Amino acid sequence: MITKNTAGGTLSAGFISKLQSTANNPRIRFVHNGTSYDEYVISVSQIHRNGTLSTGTTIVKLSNADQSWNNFVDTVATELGKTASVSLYFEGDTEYMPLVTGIVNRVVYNDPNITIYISDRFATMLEFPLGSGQSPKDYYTAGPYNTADLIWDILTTMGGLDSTASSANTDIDYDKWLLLKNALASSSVKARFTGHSIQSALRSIAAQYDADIWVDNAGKFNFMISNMVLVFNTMSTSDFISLDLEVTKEGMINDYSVYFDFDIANDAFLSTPYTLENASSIAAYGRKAVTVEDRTCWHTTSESARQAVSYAGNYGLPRKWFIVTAPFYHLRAQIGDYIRITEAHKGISAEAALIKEITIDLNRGITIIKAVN
Amino acid sequence: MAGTQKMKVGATTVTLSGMTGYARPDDNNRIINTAMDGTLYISDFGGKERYDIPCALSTTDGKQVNTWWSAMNTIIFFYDFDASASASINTRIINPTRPMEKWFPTGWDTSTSKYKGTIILRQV
Repeated sequence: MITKNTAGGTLSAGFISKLQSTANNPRIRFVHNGTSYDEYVISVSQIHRNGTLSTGTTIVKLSNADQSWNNFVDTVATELGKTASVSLYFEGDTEYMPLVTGIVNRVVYNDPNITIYISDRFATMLEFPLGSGQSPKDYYTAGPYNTADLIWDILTTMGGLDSTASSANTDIDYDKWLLLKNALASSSVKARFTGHSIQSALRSIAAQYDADIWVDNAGKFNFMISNMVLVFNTMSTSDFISLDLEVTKEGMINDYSVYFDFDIANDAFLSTPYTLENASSIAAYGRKAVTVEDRTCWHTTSESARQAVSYAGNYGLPRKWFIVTAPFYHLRAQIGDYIRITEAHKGISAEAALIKEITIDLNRGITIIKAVN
Repeated sequence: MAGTQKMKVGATTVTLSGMTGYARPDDNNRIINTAMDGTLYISDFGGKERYDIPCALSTTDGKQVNTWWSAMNTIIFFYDFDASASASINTRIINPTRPMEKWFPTGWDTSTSKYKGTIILRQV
């Protein structure tokens, strides 16, 4: 749930009340390099985020009739790369809720307008290579590490992000990271990166836990693993414009094996894999097996492998994907929140689902939430 | 039809006396969504004033309006000058093509109006 305003304070009850009203007067604020240019905004594209660190782009179309935006031509080297954000406020208020925060990485002049492309400010950092084949990035001589500590070191030491170990961290949502670390208390991992980008390294680590890592609406790195934070948005037919549901065996796993205790010198795992089977699911749906043999980032203990398996999906049951189209009422929903859905026509009663993707369409006044049970 | 209206940029003013066809249409950016149970959600992103003003002007005023259109000037618009000489909004002329065209009055027309057109003003 988005709880902070752009000033870093807590969103007021009055703001939330207006957001959740059936009639309101929203306004769009566009800030570039610390100055607001609301009156220039013609349109804002869809804002999309998911948990796989895909650095989405938000496109803002502005009027350049008075040539205010020609500075991108004059001083291109300094203007491109400055911060930009889109936020929402209500007529007469001075409180703003951030919707997207990033940097300008491209502008296109379509006279008399200008189109500005905002991407996550970490997009360049995520391409940074960790080590190389000749000189691997060594997370195996020392350690083992809590998986969250490994992620932290990759982001701060290698990625150069703020390493302040408190809520004051400007690049990482420290509170969420701490919850992740506590959730993964049993983890014990080592790693050896041979030129993997930070993005691919983080993705492969997250995939082991079916965890999500993303850059949030305020421009901070965020983390989520199932059951880490239990925030529930109760939704019924008054809360959504439409509700689509897909029930699929895709993503279902009922036989999961993870190798652990890797020996670099011999290029071999020294232990038999940790395995978990769901016999009744195998009988009902057939065997859907996954074997993880990760020589880049591996568990050093059976308990660490067990914990990863417990998160990563011995679901044993088909997955239910909910696609909820909601009005602005649910604009505060975040990846990692749960929604509890009731809808009589499909016989859905208080089903909990974890939000994995969010798309905000300001032009249509809607929030599209993709969540999985 | 409105009474006297005025357009002003700097010290230059043009006085308009509305003709048949004067309109003040809505220009609201409003989104309406209906939830599955029928609950109505309305978000109004802000209405702006718009005035469609057919008029006939002197050569000096007609050229001035075209100059403002060409320069995309912000125009202070006194929308009801008879009632209030100070109530105004900032506008721009949003005609897609030049608003005032030169015309030739009929022989019995003794007015000095040599330019004619419909000015579309939009609050900025």
